[in-house]
Amino acid sequence: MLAEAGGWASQQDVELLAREHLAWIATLRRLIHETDSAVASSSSLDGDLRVMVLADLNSERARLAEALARAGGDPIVPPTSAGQLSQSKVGPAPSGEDASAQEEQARPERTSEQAAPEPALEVGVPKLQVSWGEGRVVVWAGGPGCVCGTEDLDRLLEAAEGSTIPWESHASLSHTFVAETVARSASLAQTLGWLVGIAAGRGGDGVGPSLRWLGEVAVWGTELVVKGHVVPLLRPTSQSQTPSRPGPGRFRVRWFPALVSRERLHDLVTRMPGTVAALQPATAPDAVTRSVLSAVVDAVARAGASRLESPAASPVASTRPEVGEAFLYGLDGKPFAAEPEPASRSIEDLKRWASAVTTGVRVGLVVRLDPPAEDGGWLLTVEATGVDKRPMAVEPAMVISSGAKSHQLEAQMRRLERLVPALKRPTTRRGQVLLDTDEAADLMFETGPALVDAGFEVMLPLVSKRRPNPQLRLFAEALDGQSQVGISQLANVRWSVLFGDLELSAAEIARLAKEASPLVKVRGRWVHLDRDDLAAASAALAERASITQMSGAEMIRHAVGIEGLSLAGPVRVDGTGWAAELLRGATTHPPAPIDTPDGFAGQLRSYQAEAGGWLGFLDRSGLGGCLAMDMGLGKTPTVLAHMISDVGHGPSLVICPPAVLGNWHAEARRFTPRLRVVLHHGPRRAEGVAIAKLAHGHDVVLTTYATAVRDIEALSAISWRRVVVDEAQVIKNHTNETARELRRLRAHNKLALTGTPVENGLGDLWAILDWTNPGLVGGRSSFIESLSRTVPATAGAGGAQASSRSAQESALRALNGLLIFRRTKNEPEIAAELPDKVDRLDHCAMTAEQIGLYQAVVDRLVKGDLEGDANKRKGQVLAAITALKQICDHPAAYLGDQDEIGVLDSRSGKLTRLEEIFDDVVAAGERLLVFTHFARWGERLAGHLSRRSGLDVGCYHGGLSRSARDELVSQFQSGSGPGALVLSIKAGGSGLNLTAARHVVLYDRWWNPAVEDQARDRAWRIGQQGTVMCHRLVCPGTVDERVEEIVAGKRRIAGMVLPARSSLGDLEVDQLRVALGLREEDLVEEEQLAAAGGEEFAA
Amino acid sequence: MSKRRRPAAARRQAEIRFWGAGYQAPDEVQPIRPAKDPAVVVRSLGPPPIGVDPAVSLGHLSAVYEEAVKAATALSAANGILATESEED
Repeated sequence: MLAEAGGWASQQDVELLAREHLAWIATLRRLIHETDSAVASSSSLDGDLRVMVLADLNSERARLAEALARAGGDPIVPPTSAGQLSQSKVGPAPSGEDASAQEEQARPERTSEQAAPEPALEVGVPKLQVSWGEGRVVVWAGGPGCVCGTEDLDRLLEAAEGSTIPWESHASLSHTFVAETVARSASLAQTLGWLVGIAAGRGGDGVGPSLRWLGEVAVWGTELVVKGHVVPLLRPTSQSQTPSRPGPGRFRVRWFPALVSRERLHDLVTRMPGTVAALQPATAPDAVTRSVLSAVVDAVARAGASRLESPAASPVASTRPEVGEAFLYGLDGKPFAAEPEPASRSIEDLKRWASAVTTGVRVGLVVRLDPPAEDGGWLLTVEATGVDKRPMAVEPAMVISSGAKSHQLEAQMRRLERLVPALKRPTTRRGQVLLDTDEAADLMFETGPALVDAGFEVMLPLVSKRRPNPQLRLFAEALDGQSQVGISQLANVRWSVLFGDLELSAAEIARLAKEASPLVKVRGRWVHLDRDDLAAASAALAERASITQMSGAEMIRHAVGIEGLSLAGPVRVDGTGWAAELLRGATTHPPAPIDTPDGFAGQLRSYQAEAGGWLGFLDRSGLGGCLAMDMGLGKTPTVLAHMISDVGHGPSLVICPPAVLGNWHAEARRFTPRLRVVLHHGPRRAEGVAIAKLAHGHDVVLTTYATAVRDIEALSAISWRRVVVDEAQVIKNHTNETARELRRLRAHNKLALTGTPVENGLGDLWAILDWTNPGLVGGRSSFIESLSRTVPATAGAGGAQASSRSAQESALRALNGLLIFRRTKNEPEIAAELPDKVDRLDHCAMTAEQIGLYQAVVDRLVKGDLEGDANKRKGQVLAAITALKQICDHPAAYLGDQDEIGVLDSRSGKLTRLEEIFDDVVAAGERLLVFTHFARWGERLAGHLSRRSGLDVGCYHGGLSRSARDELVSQFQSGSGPGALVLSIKAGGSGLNLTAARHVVLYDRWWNPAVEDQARDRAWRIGQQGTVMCHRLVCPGTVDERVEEIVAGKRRIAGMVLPARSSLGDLEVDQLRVALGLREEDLVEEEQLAAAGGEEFAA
Repeated sequence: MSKRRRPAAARRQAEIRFWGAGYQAPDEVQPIRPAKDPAVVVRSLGPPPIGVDPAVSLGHLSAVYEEAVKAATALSAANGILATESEED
């Protein structure tokens, strides 16, 4: 072909070219474009060399053009005058700052004259208007038929949130339709944020159409910069535009919009209100629109560029490279000085360089990637649009197009080839190339989206953007003829790895791992597999290749991650057999929430209904589990609802601390009155075979840990439907007697209830789960090790603690829904369901010491000499009541300085209960208030809690100075993490704001319920973010309960009806004994816990 | 020179156009999605012909584009018109 162009081709050569006519023309065109580019590039040369090179290139171009004419192709017009030595000089731009935009964009046709219903003018309503003038935003107030003054402008600016802009005075504005009116102006940069906000809907009703329109343009300009659709060009500043000015000129970079949508521009031009151009009525709307758009992108891009620090350029750029450096370092728009000749050449070169994206583009390129045929690569083809009616291959499109279209196609193709270098490979046809898998993957997942941003249309096979995480899969087939079922059942197992929905065997993974960019098709979408993931999957399968048979327990452990995690997740178990079916029932088809069962007097919350579904799943599968809902979420009613739905299948045994025994009884009566519930507790409880009889005559037997241990022989002889241990942290030490003895109980399933299943660590969780499902979760050490390994180590101070917490949370997540049902108050959907406060009555036991002291005080009162005088007698009774309440609190609260024991541990049921609540609150990282009537006791209590927890627990009481009290409140409110504050109810029961606490304990009772409510309301008030849990501690069978009866508004105290206007001072001796004495049938006596492993209750 | 009298209807039309009566702003601004590769357009053009080492000029331009996109993104986010993740999908 070159021979033909040079005139020395043989006849044979010419015939050969004629046979490949289209290719001949296309190649000539390509060569001409390349020559044009070379001509453009040569402008960087200087002096004689430049002259020589240009002469050569022009001559070559002329030969090629003649050859093209001989081949029958349309001539190609040189892009600019670049082929001649540059003659351009620095001078005024054709139309000021906006010249480039005006000459580079096609002018759309006006369509505003098209027929449309005529809109009505809103006469007499002034609006905030803007006009565009000399690159500034000019604001004024106006509207049809309005004469507006400064006040109107100020008011409208204020309403439109534009009053803080540093507006400057501007010449008053007048127009055919506007009476002379005051105006102000500001630079576009100063108003840009405001304009974008106006377009986003701010500003109110006083915003006029012109301001809304300018806002729209501001948003578009911002969007262009966000997409990188801008280019920097060089322009002379206005000072340089004096033709006769000698010496260096001033220049600056100006950013222009690129790849502008003609349709969007046209839409804005046709909708532009005339008010925008009120200062330049002779300028056409499209020029105004382009001017504003250019100014916006320039302002935004310069603001970004100014964030980069650039070195100083030469004081006066006198050579082309110096101008180039000044251009690069002046992208923030700062003017610089340069000699006119090299600067004007750079201006022209940059203009040509950017023309492919600044010229109104009428043709487009479509990049299409077709999936491979059986044996081939991926076919990448480029098609042109805008040449023919339909897209056509780019090479023939270049042949048939001419003039500007031809240039544009070539320019777009070159842009594309820079971004997709594979297109530059020598091929038979330009714009068509076969890609290997790596290139195809790059195009689909990396380059393809970038091409769209670069203005090309891209048609790719469907891809999945999400990288699938690999998961080990175990497929089980239960062995036939086994007598073993459940956790011992054996099954043959087969291993594979799932990448999303795609299952891959070891052999398939090995094949894919050899590819640099493995691509697979899953459900019609191409997925890019990560090579590291494939390597990890291959290693995981190799590690398990020898494991071909497993027990049910082993499969469960794999499924929940106890056997260690592989490929960053637990193993998915499918197939047949006990374990596979069990896991399917828990995960693939999780149990549905239950409806509120018949016989349940209440409404289950949604998470309680879900827990009910899970409890049913445990029943069906024979598994045990841990119901680990946070304190206050209603574990007791949830279990009662399940019990009533399952009634008739045998008795349930509930074992709990004495403090919550009464609560279980009360809640059973309240929620499930039809359940036959019996207390098995106290010295008069059933013994031996009578226990079995008792159990079979009831649905639920309630007992305490100590009693259960004492009666373990009889209890373990009974086949229970279920055994429930409440406050299951009692069995967290698997070596203590309670935990060991309770393992002897036989039940269809065992259930542990606790709000803090990992109070001290994963060992607690293991102990609970091993009690509920002996042997299932494997050994303690391996359990802890495996689940800890799932959490990466956290470096730095506090890292170990954070890591430990993360491990615990991970473990709970892994086991959730199968062996654990975990819900917390912090889950938004649960928090939304909770009431803002929960009041709860906690029944606390009395120790032998408390009972002895209590009895002695009552005896002294009723056997001693009571005063005859009613007032004095009343004083004696009230003093006795105070003493009794102190004894209920703690013997030390009553004895004061005479207390010879000194330590507080294990001497009060209330203190034991408080310690349990305190531990739960601290474990949850939350805060607690404890109210008592006795300030000195409060101080001892605070000291006790501080010692046992290591936290600084203060006591707020009236004996402290005002500043000390304020400091206590301030510290409590501003502190973070777990904490507690003890308060005297008299000093701190009202007026304080203690919303940092979500838990309140009313340690002792007061006659007036309003006082108690006021104390609770220190936490439950405005500013509280969560549900407040309020515990009121009561010792049944004591004066505490009488207070409760009075608080409840009853006139019947201890079975005795009081006269309407009577008081305790009026009562006779016998009546006093009844009113204040111990009622043994109600009394919850603290048991000898040490003998039954009750050391778990102590610190 | 006689002055041609402007018909009332034409004047009314001109006044309507001037004040933008009936101007309809879009109901909702389309959320703006930031480009994942802000400098792709400028890279497609090749290094600017300014007589500076192409690697230096393209490298510096890319850094400036990053900053420009950040500034524009901040402007969009401050006015609540930046696309969220879900809007991008």
